[in-house]
Amino acid sequence: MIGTLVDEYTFAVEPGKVLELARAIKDPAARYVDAGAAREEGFTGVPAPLTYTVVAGHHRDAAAAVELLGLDIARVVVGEVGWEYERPVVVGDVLHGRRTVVDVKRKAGSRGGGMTFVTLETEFLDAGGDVVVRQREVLIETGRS
Amino acid sequence: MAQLKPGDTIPELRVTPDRYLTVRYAGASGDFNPIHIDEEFARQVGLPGRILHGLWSMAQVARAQTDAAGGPEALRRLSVHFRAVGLPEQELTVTGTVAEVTDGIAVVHAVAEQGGTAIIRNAEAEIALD
Repeated sequence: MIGTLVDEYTFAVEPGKVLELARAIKDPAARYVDAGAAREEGFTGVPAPLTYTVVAGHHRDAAAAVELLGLDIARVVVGEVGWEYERPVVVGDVLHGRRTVVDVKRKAGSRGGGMTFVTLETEFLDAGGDVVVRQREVLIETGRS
Repeated sequence: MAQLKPGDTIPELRVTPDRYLTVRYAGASGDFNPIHIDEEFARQVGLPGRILHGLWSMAQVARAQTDAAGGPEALRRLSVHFRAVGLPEQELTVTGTVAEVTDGIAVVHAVAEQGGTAIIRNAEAEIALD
């Protein structure tokens, strides 16, 4: 399963979506809504909040991804998430996300119901093909109860 | 740029997700899992009620680091472990301590708590100091 392509998609970093996410996470910083404030802080454009790549949820199908991995969605939880930043994501970027399986581990449970840990990595590339952000997530399928 | 040294604490962040926050975040993120937006469904699957999106809580951890770093561009890496469910209408607190500083990178260990329960543990951030 390691190396399997889970999904890939392309999306533009839009000012309205940046504003919507900044409001949803209750971040009052002016840099996310005001190009002048962003420039004063040295950004080339309005930056997106650090967790902006979550908007990929609009571009992919969580249920289909879990099915592709052979997991039971009713027993899947996200145990860990991590981000690595090469540069700030700014409004106007067009990102291409490519999510692959990088690790699979199985752990025997105490009552025979093993757990499965699937680590996925998404690389978000800009229009020039450079990696901007890497996102890792560990899906945990808990044992049958 | 931020001046951080081992043992320093980062400014505490306190934020209270309002009653309909999870609906707003579902729309922003595209994560419409009913455990976040449907009280009845959440209870049917054994949860205390609608729960916060883990990535919303992570966004609060990221913001606490951003505030400590003097801006989001200083954050190089951030990872978290989800340990318990977060709930709407309860104050969430993010605290953190600088664990080490090596080659101009401060490593901050952080926790997000609600009502004394750690919902995010082992959060680790790398902040560039120069």
